Amino acid sequence: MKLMDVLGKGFTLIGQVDSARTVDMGAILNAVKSMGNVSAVIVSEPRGMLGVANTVVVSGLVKKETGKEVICQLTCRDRNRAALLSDVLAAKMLGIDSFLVTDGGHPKISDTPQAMAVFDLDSAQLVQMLRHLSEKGETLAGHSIVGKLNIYVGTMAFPVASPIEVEVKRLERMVGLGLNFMVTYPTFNIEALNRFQSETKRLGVPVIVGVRMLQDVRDARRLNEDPRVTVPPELIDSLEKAEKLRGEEKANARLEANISFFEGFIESIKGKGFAGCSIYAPGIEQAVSQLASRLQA
Amino acid sequence: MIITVAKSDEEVKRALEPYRNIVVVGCGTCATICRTGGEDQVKEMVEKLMGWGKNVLASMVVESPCDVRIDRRDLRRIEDEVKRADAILVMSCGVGVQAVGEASGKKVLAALDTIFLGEVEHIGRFLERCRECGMCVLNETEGLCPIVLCAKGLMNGPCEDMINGKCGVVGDEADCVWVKVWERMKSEGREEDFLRVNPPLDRSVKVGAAKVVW
Repeated sequence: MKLMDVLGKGFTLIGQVDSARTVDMGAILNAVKSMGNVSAVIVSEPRGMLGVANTVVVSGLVKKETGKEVICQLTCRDRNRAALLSDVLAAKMLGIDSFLVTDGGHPKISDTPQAMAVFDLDSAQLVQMLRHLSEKGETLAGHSIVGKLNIYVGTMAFPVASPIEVEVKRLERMVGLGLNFMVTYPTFNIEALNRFQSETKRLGVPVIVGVRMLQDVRDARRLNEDPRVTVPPELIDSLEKAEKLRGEEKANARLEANISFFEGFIESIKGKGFAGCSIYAPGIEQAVSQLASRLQA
Repeated sequence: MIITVAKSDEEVKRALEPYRNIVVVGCGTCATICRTGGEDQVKEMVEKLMGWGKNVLASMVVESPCDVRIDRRDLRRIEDEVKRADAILVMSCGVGVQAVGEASGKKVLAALDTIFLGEVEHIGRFLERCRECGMCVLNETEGLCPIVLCAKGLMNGPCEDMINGKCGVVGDEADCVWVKVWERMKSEGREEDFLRVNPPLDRSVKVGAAKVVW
């Protein structure tokens, strides 16, 4: 089922998997398969890591091997407008037509800070380019494309951004360009999410709430270093308790800490006007499927 | 103002390695303000070179080494020394280094790194303000240049790295220029102007080896 047919029909669960610095698709495919019955998968770039397998190719392989609907992240960081166009055309050939467009993190705060920061286009201009391709069958420079593209384009939204009014205005600008959906940057702050929902409701674009599961207590502490994220102390506590266990018991306790926390989290945002949830559970993708069955029960 | 900083002694020493007879040229304009190529810095450099066993034939501060006409005029005063020199060490921006090379026909070496086009807040505090893109966008961005003040040069910000109104890339408490643009628009009741989409920049305007001729 196409992404846009899913969004807006009740609360949907989608998964997220990062591309990696690898030549082996096995681990990525296993991660996606263990997510179970999610309605789509975002193939993203790991934050702060430059030079991973092209998300377009990874998206195409995920789609081919799992049959899932895929949303491919495209950033403006490494590619000029021509390279972005190349990737979008290639994506279409691989059956990918949904994109999550972001500016992309600056190389300076990555593992390859010496790399040139491209940003030939910004995310708004990339949305514009994609809409133009989709609606007019032309590039921004007016060159026509052979064949039809029917593109869905979303962007990342930041509900805890401050000042929030600038972020809402930025998103409104993108909606004016034909944005189809938004995915929020992972947050544990329900209050901020609800405020964000009430401020962006008028824009009429489905909002998917980004959720980040935690591998273990170290992962939680690392994530807490991001000034935009505060991991709730009760989640850190239950992950800390898991550390006292061993082997399978420890792994199960970590999963359970996540699943029980996010079950409550998702229940409390359901019915608040969000289109669904995108669950990013790096290394513990089976938690996505377990959480999904818990939510259905 | 063209903002420069001194290269390390090691780097200057390495560049001068093959040469013994040296002329040192400073800059009476930007590098004097930056305290990288004025009278005092030229004097210090001469002493340093002598300490490294170099034969310094002459030194002078040229009023504006970026102007080939002024180089020709000023270097005439040390014509013989320039003729005998193996190399001229120029304490100016990259433009000055190349112009002195053109005016003298001599091997030139750079003693400074050229950092940016900047505003002088006071001596010792210089702030980058322009990247000479060749298509000034200040009229669209409330008089603040996003090409240089935004770490990503975004024309339609802010981005994911804006944290509490600050730039998470530049750090050092640098303001997010797009939040500043928003605040200026808002203070004049023009919030809707923020929705305007600035088009992609035309990169063909800037291809290198540019000329303005009339």
